[in-house]
Amino acid sequence: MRFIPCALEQRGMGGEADMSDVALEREVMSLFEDLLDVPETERGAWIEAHTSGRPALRTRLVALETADRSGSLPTGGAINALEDAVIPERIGAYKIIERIGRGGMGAVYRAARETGDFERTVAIKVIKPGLFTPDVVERFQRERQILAALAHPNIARLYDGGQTEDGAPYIIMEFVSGQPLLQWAEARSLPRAERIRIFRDICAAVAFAHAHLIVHRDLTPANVLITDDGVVKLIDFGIAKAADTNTTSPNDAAVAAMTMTPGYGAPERLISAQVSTSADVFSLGRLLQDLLRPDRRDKELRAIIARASATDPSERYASVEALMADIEAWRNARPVAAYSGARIYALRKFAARHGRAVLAGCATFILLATALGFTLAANVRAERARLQAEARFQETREIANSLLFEVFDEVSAIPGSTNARERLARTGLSYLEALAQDESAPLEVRVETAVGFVRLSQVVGGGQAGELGRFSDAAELLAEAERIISPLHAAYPNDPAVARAMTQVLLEQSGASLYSHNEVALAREQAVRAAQIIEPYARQDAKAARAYIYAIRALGDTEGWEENFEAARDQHQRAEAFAAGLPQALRDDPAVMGARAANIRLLGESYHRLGMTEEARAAIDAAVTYTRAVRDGAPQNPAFVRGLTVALWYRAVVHRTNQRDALARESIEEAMANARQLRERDPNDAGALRLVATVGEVYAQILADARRFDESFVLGEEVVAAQRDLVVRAEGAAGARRTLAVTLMTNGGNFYNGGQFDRACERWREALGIFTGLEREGVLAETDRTRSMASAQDYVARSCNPPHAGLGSNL
Amino acid sequence: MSQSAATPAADQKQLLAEHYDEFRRVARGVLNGDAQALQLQPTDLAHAAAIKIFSLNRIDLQGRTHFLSLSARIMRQILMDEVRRVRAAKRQAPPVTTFWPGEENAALDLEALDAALSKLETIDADRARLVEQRFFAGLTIEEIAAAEGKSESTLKRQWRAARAWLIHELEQR
Repeated sequence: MRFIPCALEQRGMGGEADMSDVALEREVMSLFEDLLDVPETERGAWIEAHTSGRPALRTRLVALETADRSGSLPTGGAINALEDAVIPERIGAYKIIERIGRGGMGAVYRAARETGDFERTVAIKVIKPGLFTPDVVERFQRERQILAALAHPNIARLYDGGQTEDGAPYIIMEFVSGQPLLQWAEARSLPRAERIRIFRDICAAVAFAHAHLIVHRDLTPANVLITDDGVVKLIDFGIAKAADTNTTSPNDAAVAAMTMTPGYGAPERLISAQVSTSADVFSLGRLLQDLLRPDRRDKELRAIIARASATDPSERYASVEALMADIEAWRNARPVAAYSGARIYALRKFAARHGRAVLAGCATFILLATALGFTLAANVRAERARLQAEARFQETREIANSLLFEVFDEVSAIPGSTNARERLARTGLSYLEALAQDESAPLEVRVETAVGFVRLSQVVGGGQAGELGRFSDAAELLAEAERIISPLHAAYPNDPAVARAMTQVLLEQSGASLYSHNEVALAREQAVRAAQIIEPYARQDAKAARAYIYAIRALGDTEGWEENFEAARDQHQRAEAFAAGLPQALRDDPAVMGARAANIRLLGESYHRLGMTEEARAAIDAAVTYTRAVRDGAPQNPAFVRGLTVALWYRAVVHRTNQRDALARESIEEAMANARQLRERDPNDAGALRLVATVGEVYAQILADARRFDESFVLGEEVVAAQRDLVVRAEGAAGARRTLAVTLMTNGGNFYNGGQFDRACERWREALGIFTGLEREGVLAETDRTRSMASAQDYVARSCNPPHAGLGSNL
Repeated sequence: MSQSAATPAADQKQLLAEHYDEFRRVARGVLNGDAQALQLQPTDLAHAAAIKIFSLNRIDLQGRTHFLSLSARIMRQILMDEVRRVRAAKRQAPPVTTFWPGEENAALDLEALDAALSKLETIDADRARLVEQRFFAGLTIEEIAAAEGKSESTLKRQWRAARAWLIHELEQR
């Protein structure tokens, strides 16, 4: 009988219980909990005694007790479609004998060939109709052929496959009469040596499949059968797929995740469909664990298992063979590769261990995920660190710094990592911040936090390589850095680390003020302060020397921005003289060399603009030589590639102006190839996009000089598109719009010279519109007003009503 | 909770907020399958999310338990949001089913269970939370007992009461 309390019946489902019900229900549950301690035979009397005079309470208590005893929860009506399905009589040429299994994916039948000369018993797996989309089914049909060719004594053979009348895909495979692995082993109390033998057979079969580009993907104890003769048979390649990335579809990950057996599926299967053989290594590790059940003393065996089933695929054995080799070593009491006394994992070692070759392949996510994993682990640690030892605090801090600096730099070398780096910086930083909030946090931690904000701002929109072009976000981050470092600098004016950090913040701000926001006076002020602060330490170490060179260079840059080339030249000469006067060890430091090369490039620009041709050429050649040397020292480092590209670009500019067309072309071609390479490494990298635009603009002009207009126009379109994209990324920042306008002017010039006056005027009008807008907002620089904007007005007035060759034959 | 005494509540919230997207990605990854009918186990989802977020091998047990316990509510919310989203997006979407921990033979309608659990919440928040921790975060009674400083036998009894109450509630549907 079923007890239905009136209150619930009337209330129906889903609503909130009202107050009197709440009290009643609470009482019922707490009574029920007491009831659990009462022996079953006495329960009737107990209920009577505890609910006397309260029928509603009694009814509910009895209902709960009945529900508890009923032992299972009611099903929700969404039972497997196949549960009730009639067993088919035949599938293909086979007559169904019986159903031998049923699972989430479908059912398995034993069947025999009806016709033909020989008797053959097979297993037929029917996949639930509609479980897969047509393209997954199609993929399966394709792969069936590979699977069918997989002939190995320990792998159940796949014979055929097809589709039933109602559209359910099916697979016909070798019928294996046997027991699942663990059951079989337990039933026989199998000795360990024998279990190891079995495991090696399993490994051999999986290795064989891998050699044929088949990954099992679902190795579980249930999918390893042992025949009555003790022979291993791997079954159910139902979701196995050819280890070829071409065949993956977006649905694969979902299917993989859906069919994952708890505990056995490799974690990355939830992330990506592109599962490699490493997923099977993971499952083998888990199988080994369940098969051998090592205890505390089996240190080496446990190390083998841990390595095989490491969360991070790159930490696992590289292949099944490597796993087998380690097991062999363990059996023969030779040293085991996995057991190297691994203790606490140091993130730094991780970064060091993973060569760039590995990273460049596919591991951005893995590295990042591991790094973030550490942050969290560290985070939990940090929470306790506040109450616990200083050592913990230091450990945490090291990890955070490692994330922000070492791993960050390492990840920078990976193509496509700009977004990832932002996350990395953010996570590392959030952690440092938490530490810095501690009242007793040492000064260094606060300094590191400020520098962390600078780092983050560089990724978000620092105007250099590997950044996202979000200028306003970057500005906020820099403001945060300043809020942290300024009071510290006031309190500790003589601390070198504080001074360095303060300089870094100011220089970054100066760059942002100049390039992103077109605020020259502010940029100059920031650069002057930076130079003052770092000067006392400038000869002490490479970092300080570099910061000082950058500070003076930034000063020169603000002059050059306003076309005060004499003042600019003086500053750049000053920086160069300083760099040249440094001790040899500092001079040869890559950080100093990079800063020096960048400064010489700008020095060359000043000479060039002042008409000092030979000096310009010498300086720019020196810049190219320097940057090339720096680049060759670390050819994968995008910052170094960028440095060289900028130098080459400017050499092309100088040569072009001096009509040395062949030399100009040579430099610009190399620069363009580098810039494109940087862009392809990471489409999110606004710095690379900007470089393509800057270099491309000059390249287009050089092509137009050579009257190669068709090529020039195509390139011009690419350049303008890139500048528009940058404006969007910068959310319309003034600096980005100004750059677009200048580009449009140049691009219009190319069209004009190529005789396409319509398109030239279209460009110039747009540029004029942008300049006018900037003027209205009060952010148009004076030089832009008097030069670029004036040119735009002039060109439009003289040549565009209607568009014609009003400016002479060539611009 | 023994841990939370040492950790400002705001920090914990922050921690969870940071990983909210991660949870959702995992839930979405599973629910976006081709299947016409889906069966999933929130416990596995929670663990998968945890694996994604941190390496279980390298965080100590206390930290893991604590984090999962904190995540239970969020996991539930995200999962149910995703279930509703998937169901809304598909015409004639079938129910998403699950099974009660340890009772793998009977499929349960996940939304019905969620509704019943919400109702239990209005009656008894502690018992409902226990179900959340076990069912949506995959914690064992032992782990919850250790994390919350409660006795295992009390929790076991509460668990059984909650289960009986939910069974009865679902039978009324």
